[in-house]
Amino acid sequence: MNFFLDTNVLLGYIFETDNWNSKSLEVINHNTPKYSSLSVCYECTHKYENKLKGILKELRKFGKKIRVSKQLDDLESYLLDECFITGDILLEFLNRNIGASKNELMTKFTEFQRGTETRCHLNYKCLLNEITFHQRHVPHRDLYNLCMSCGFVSDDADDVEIIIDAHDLGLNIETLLLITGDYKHIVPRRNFIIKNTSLSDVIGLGEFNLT
Amino acid sequence: MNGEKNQLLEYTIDTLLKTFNPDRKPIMKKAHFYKMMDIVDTRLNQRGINLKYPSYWYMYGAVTDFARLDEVIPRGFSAHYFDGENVLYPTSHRRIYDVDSQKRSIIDSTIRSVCEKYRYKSDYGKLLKRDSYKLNSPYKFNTTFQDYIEVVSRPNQSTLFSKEDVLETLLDKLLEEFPEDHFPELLDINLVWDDTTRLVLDYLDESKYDCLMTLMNLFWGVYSKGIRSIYNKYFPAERVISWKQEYEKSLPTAEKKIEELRKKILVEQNHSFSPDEDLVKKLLKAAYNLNV
Repeated sequence: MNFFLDTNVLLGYIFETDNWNSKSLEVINHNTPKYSSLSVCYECTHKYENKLKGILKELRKFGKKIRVSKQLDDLESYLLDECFITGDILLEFLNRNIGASKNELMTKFTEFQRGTETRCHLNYKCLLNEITFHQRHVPHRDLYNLCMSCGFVSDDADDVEIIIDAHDLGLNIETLLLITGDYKHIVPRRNFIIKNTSLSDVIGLGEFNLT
Repeated sequence: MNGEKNQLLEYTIDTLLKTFNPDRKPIMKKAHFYKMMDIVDTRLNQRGINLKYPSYWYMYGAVTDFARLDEVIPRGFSAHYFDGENVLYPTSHRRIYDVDSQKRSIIDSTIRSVCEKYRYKSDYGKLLKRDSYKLNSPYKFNTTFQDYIEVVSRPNQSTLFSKEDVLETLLDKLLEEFPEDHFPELLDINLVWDDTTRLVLDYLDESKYDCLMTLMNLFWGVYSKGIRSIYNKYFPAERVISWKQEYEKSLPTAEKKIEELRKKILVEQNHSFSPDEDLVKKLLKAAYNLNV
């Protein structure tokens, strides 16, 4: 048995969370050979970097505010005014560090930020070591046309490319299961994918239960 | 301005070079000329004379462009005034200038006073730079950053305060002075640069100063392009537009390079942190849920 992993599984592992009780971690830690494709890797890298960047922007603004503040009392109102996505978390951070001096607060905050960043980067690095990324060289036009005629391409052309990547790999290795968190375009097409590709099964991340 | 020859500017440059260095000694580097002209131009503006001197603000302060001077100085500039290293009073020069006597008198006296201040001073380049910054630095940030460049670039010496402490103090100052209202598109790059520079100061040993230099050049390069695209005068519109485009193009590249360096340092150093685990988890979830 082998796994082919979709982007959302990789992202779930990097951020140690997903919408299915962190099933991504279970999947990656499972003792089964894991594969994916270079296009998935590219999409995952792009999304992971941008998601991380999104919160780091807020954290850096808050870090600047701590550094330039003459008094720490106005940090809470700053967070309320800024409407950060991370606002509640940063408020909680402040509440846990009431009474800390400016230097202590900055040290803790730096540790908090760097700790989070480092975790993501190391998880990503671990993925690159754990997973074999497949490069497809054949277009598989027949399969693409089938996907086109059933409306899959118009729903999400990128997903179709990933299915074709998996199919291409499945032609060369035994029992390849696609694990995905895409319940919009991929999981509902489970029967279509099993019937028309080399994949043995499609498993929604929420239903992953292999021990 | 295109194609318009400027005898007023020619007269000023000739007078300045003749007064400052009549013996044509190899003492005026390009940078010195830029700063001295910036000061003369400013002083003359204050006295009601607009030289239409083409200049812009860049990495180390006020600059002109010899190719642009070639276009506006009647006989051209590079071939007559620049020997490849120094700016010199030309051996063959105009004798009659189309400049009225009142203006000549103001220009002459201004140049005399500027020359008196800087001539025969061994470190006149530094003095010129300091005064040019005092007069025209677009932001305090530009001036403070010159101090930062000097500290990063100078060799390690044992002084009362460590180089790291001096740099951290300057970083705090720069953080406060960054003109974010005028450069909102640069704010994120400024913050990731600051954040990564502090990371380098905290973590690295052997490669510390190489990394600081790389980071400084990345940030200062892009910021200076932004400054040049705004703080310039008497350049043709197409030139200014190309500077603006160059600046905009350089933004994502600089940010990406700084982020890559940061990531490399964090992964290689792999320091153990003891932050609140549940808060880290919440932060990771917030990132995961971001729609990008």
